Amino acid sequence: MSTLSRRTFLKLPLAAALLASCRRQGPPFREADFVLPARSAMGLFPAADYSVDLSDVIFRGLTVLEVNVRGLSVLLKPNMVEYEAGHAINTHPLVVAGAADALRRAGAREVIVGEGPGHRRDIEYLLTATGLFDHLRESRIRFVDLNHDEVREVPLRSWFTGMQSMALPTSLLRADMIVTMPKLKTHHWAGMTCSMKNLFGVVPGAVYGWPKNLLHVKGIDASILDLTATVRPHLTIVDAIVGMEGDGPIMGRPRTLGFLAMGTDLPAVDATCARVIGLDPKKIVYLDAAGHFLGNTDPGKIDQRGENPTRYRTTFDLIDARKNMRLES
Amino acid sequence: MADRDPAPHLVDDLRRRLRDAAGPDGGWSYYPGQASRLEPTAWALIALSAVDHAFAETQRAQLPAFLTGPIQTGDLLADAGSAGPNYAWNGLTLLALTALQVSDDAPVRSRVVSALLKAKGIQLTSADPTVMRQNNQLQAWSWIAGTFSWAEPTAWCLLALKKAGARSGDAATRIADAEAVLIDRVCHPGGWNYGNSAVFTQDLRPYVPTSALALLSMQDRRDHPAVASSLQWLEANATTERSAMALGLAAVCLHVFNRPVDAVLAALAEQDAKTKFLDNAHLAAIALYALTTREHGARAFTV
Repeated sequence: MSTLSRRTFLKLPLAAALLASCRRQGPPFREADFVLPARSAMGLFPAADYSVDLSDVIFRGLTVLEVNVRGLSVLLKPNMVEYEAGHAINTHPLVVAGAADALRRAGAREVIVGEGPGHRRDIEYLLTATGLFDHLRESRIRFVDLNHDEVREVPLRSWFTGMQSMALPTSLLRADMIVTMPKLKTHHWAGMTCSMKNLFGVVPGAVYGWPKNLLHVKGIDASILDLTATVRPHLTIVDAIVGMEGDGPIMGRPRTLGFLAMGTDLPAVDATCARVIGLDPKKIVYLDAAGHFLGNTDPGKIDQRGENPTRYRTTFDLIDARKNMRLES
Repeated sequence: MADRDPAPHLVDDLRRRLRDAAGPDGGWSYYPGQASRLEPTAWALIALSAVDHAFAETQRAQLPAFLTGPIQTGDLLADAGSAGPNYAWNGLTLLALTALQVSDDAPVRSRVVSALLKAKGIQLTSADPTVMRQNNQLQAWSWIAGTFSWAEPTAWCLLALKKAGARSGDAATRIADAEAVLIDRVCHPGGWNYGNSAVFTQDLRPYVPTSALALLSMQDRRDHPAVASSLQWLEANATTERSAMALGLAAVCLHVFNRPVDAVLAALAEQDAKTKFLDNAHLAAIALYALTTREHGARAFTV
């Protein structure tokens, strides 16, 4: 177990900047609410392309990571932002369909898919254009439009943004298990978008608008931390079969990686993915802070299952403004 | 191309679906079984009153309790569960009240007009042109208090104020400011997305529904080059985004600008199987209104 004193927290330069903005005494969360695990297991599972039996890959991942979903109501939260033919913007619908199938096979009582795109409010268009609509209908998977779902104001479990509460979709709050399913991409503001940044999509646009500007005004890094601390997804399944480099999360170029990353500790998975694409987790502000209360980012505390990350190690292209986030070799 | 009416059975089906979706408080939710919300309620009122005069008279005589109940967030209406009002939905609600011919001095209407004139997005420091090509000092309407001005809330509030006939004094200033924001944010080929035309020197793509809505709010400025290029873009791309929202708003907009709409209406009718699967009252209302545009002339959106 590791807790964080205010003094320790303020020694962290990036996190200190976040703290300064929230003007609170002590770390901006109740320390007793967050206990870092001694070790975190995560896995990279090969999938050369989307023609692979992804249900099988994910089912194997659930088994290897000992994730028990029996009897649970599971909400899958893919990343669906925009549609542009030939681009790798969104979590591939076959990964979503594969996850739904694997979770059902593993005994989940119910699997639903929920997303609330941050730029495009037209969910019918996005579902149709991305092809997810056909998979949902074919597999009889219920879809929840998180932008327009009923909402409930809930207290935040950390206060990096300075906010005390936020309206969140009731379907999200009711789920027994939340699975964040991001696409691994560079991000022109945050450096990288993966399991944690994907949670911007749970913020209801019908309340906060498009883009979800409140999160930008309050600080992207701070918002990522507060959302992750509050929503606390139970599992992440990262679509890193084809990722995005350069000017992500929308205008970048597709880059084949060939794996799915899975784990129950989001910072551990995101930190590993960052290193794989040549980014330093300590230079990604939200990930650096997350490593002190939300999960393990130190590779010495992460047990790798499946493939060794060095197999996929590469260097993603970055826009000039984010090149300072590169991992030094 | 000759005008053709969409399949009448589809219009009847949409009308029935929308009527059946009304909540006990007289409002509409986005999805079945949920609490009434402003956006689907306003759209349902606009769509049903356009095709059913008796319905319009009934609603005018007694507005849904949901719209006339106590307002706890100043003078603007707010959805249940929201911390504060959403300016866009208040603009849309004002448009619905105008469509129902609710009197100018009705309390809900006068309060919303007055409050919308006071509400505005925040100013940000000037954008670095290599990061964003836009003027961050301009202020129109944000979605919620304390945030920046964006295309859709600006378009809803601008159109609602123009349609409500609020054009003098403060209204004239706000209308001019809002038009300046939309002109500033127009995308390179014409049209609008959520409200950034370029980020990190990359031009961003316009969206069909936002473009249609922004054009409707600028319909009395059709000589402006930004409006002309956006209309041209919309005509060329109106059927490229398949959804009730995109096709419906495009059809209404093109009708208001006296452009052909047959292909858009045909695509909208074809899309209904998918729209129906989502079971969203807001989308059903847009589809109903658009498919009956020739019947009612899109008067609710015509300035």
